[in-house]
Amino acid sequence: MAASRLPPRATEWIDRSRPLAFRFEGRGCSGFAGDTVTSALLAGGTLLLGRSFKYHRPRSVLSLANHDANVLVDDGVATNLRADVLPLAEGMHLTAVNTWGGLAADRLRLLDRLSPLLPVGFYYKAFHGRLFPWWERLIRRGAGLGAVNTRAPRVKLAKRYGHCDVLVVGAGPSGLAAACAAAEAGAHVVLADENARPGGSLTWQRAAEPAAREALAELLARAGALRNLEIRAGCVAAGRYDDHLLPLVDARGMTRMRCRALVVAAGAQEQPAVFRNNDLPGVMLGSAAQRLIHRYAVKPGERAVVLAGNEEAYDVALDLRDAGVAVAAVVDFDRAGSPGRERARAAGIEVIEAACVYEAHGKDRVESVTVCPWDGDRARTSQPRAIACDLVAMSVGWAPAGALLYQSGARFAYDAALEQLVPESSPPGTFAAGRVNGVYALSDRLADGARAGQEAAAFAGFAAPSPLRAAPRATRPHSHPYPIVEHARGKNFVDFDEDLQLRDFAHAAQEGFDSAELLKRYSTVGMGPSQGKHSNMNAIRILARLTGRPVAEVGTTTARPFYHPVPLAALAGRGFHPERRSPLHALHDELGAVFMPAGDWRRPEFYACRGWSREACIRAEAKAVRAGVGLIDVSTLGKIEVSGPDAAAFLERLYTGAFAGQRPGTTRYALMLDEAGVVVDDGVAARLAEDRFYVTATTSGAGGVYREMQRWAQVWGMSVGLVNLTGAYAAVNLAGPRAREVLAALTPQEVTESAFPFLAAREAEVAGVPARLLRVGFVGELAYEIHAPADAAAHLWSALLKEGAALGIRAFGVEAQRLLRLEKGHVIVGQDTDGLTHPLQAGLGWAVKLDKPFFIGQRSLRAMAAQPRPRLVGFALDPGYGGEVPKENHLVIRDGRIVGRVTSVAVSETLGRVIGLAYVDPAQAEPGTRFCIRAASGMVWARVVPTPFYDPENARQKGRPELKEVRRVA
Amino acid sequence: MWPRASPLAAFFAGTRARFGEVAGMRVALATPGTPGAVRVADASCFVRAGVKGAGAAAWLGEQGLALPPMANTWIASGGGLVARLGESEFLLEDGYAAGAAAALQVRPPRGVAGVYAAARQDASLLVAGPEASAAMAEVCSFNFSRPDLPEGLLALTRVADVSALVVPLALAGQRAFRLWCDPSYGPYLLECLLEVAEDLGGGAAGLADLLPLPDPS
Repeated sequence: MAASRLPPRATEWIDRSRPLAFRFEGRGCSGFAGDTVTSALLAGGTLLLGRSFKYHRPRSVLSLANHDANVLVDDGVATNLRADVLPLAEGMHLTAVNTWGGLAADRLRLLDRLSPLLPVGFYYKAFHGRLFPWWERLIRRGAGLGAVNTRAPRVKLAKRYGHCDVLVVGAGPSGLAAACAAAEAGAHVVLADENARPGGSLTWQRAAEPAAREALAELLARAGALRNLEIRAGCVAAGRYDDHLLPLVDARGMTRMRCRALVVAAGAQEQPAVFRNNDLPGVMLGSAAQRLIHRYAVKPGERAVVLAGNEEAYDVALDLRDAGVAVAAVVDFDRAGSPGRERARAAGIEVIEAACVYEAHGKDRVESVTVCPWDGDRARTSQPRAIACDLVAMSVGWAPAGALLYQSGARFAYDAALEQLVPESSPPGTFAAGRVNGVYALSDRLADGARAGQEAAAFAGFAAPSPLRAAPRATRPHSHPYPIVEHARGKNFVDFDEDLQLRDFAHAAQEGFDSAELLKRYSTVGMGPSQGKHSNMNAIRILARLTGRPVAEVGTTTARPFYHPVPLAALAGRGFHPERRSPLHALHDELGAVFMPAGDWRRPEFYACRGWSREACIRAEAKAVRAGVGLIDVSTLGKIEVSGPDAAAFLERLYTGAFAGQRPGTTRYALMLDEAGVVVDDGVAARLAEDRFYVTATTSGAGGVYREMQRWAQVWGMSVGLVNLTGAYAAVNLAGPRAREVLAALTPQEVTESAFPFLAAREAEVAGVPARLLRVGFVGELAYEIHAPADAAAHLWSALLKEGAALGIRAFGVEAQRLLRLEKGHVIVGQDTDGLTHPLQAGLGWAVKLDKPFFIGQRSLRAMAAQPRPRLVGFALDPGYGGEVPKENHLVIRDGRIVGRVTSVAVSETLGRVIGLAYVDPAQAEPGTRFCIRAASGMVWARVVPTPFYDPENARQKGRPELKEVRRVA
Repeated sequence: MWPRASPLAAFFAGTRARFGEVAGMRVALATPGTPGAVRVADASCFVRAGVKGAGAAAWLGEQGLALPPMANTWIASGGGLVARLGESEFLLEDGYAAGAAAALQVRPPRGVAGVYAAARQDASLLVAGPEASAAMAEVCSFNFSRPDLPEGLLALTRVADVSALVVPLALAGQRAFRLWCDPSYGPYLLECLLEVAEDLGGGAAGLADLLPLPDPS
């Protein structure tokens, strides 16, 4: 018989009226609402709860406080669930993680026997060379935590924003006192605690004593009366970021809490003693035994040995005795007397002074211990004493739960009197209270909490009339300075997560890893799921001993967020991924559009036709534009209105072209460089009036162009007004030799070639909608870009399609447009240019007025103009070529060197050839030169040809279809 | 006048809402079912106009409009509102009846030194219900729950990672919010808010469910 359920007790958290059934390792189990999985299993007599990470040793409860990862379970959907704090629910099907063949019969437990072959750092020495893949497979199979279920449904947890004046972390006596004091000063206070209920140590440490119960009841009553105090139980403050931002994580998700002041009253985490087989099931921290007794009414064993290194150990012994556990002995490292020792003796408990537990015995559970005299430094094994027991409760010391303070920038110092790290200084707005602050007596913790709460409230602007004084820190040590017992046969574990033994530390130090940070990385101490909560303090003590330095000099490692494990679902939250849709999106959908991402936008890649391939659809769309008329949604273009007396001068500076002399009613190509002379965007500038331009920008560049315009308008101090109309205006491009016929029927604007020539801009109604019309020709045909208010877009689009129906009008998508513009040799900024391309390389020299007084990038461009750089050229594959068609970004090779890349390539049905654009060596840029492209299946030869490939005289886009001279590529 | 289309029309077209026309735009006015904890309605139909530039405040004043005294505030105007987005940028929105915004659309400030019309085609939402603040806390980092929230506050912030204007207001004695964003982000923002609303026990609502139509008499 081991653990069992105790009779009902006043302190318990379980609801015995609500029994719950669940399965663990395929076996039926039961518990109560309010149980954790671990407490229910222990209450049912199941002691073996997990296997260790590396050696697959049997494991059970250590802290019962989420300070260790001994008991990790999988529920079929999520894995690595911490059973110690996982609320029990009806119908759970749980298995232990990291086993092969089940928990009890885990075949990998044989690794425990191989442990001498697997010392710390062995992987650094073994995981390299040809054997690495073998090692990797072996280790991945044998070690690790739970396996991620990639078929698990997406769990969407909320991610909220929260705000408060004072955030108090830790709802123990000091945290509750702090929260009450801050709230009573008028601050809006949030009190977060990782436990299911507030109260902290008052709920487990001598919790049945009247003093604890009365203090807790009084604090909770006081807190409950404060409407400006919100208590969040079961809520972990997982980290602390700049400006007092703390992620609070609970079962519902994450709250990004922004507070004005922070009180850390997170308490102290009990630390294990180190002795041989200190990880056997049945060996646990004293606080774990107390939690089992008081919170879950679980009797943790029948016969106990308490290993004492501080006064709290005697509270553990008394709690055990009160719960009906026979306390065989308290084994105390110290010789000196203490009040607790006298209380224990008075209760009839044997106290063995100046002694240690040298070794625990048992196979899958502790059955006895060997107790030896302790000479202050090591065990004297000449006088062993065996004591039968099924429970060893270790109560030897504490480590401050100071991660949030460290992350706030607080400095800690080692208090030798207390044998504990304590905050030496904290940054403004951050306050420590209670045990984390080195204050231990209950009355002192209450006072310290109240003081911290008042100071935090005052920092947040709620000053108290009579400030409180700081409470005194404890003057007696609550931690043993070195509760670590050497053993020749090892298995005295320091880090339970990583199966690190005492001798591993000695090996690390021998190899020169003798600072806290180096030791951590070499040995992996503190790098497991517990993040050093139960191991870092002992590691520091050991390192101090090994290097002959005081603990204060050894220092600690960095405690980075997240200090507690945070489910990825909580981090992901709902997953906001902003997406822009054209006002015509629904109409595209109706037409069968297949959408593709274009920056934040979703654009029709092509319109699917039943029974047609993607390529066939794209070819048909392109053909419609070449032969008749097509319509494409170009609402995604940036659209910026530049107005004011300096509008033209502003554009002169911003773009490479000339705009000062541009006549109203005309458009000009606008090419933008950055200050390094690199092409960053392009568009069209339409001059609507002397003092008003309407400028387009690329889909992905629109936001950046507008920001740059705003910035330069400020820098130059020019009188311009900038209005970003990108979303407010929709735009469509009506293109093809019959575009004019469609438009003419819908607008009072005369659209003859003479009244509305190529590159002209007009403002007129189309289908009753006030619109801006631009005669531009990206696709190389007679074309009209029609820009209109977004709320009129659907009406306009439908009217154009209806009017063009008799002419066979067809909506076309991005892919057809890419093909059409490639045939025309038009460059797409961002596709045919990159972050280093200057316009002279890309064949855009015609758009650059280097003789202007100034434009952005001009000076850099002048410097680069003479430099030999790869040139963008048009190319074609040989007529009748039937091999692999190169893809975009395939490399151009010359003499075995990479000299460029393909930026655009397509099969042009119109031209009957494979055509493309590519960067080539300047020496290969002359038309007719052959160059080599490395495609996936081998080298492909291409020939440089002049661009445009199609309609070199621009007759078609100038609306002169009678000039049907379409050059076939030579 | 062309039939105006809401940027959120596609979503509401798939609901069982009762539609009506406001300022030439077909809009969901009422939805069946009981009110939920959070209700999200399409308020894009109201006519809007923008004016910006160094002379904007003076020019609007000359048009007889009262203006908010400082940036990031708004005031009611007629059945609609005037919002000051910055020192020199204003958003005018009419209510159910045509007002200053409609007038500005007809006669925008052209040729006035330092005054520029800024066309507004925002997607606009109205979020209401007892859990409206909780819903906003899931999508926006702005602290709308602070007790000292200034009267007439206009927040230029981000909602679900999208730039938006947010006005907290009181509807039927409860906190509600008006939101405006670029129309191209409207469907996305609506989907985000509806997902949150549904998780909190709410959903889509008709505009008149939350903002009753004026009495025709």
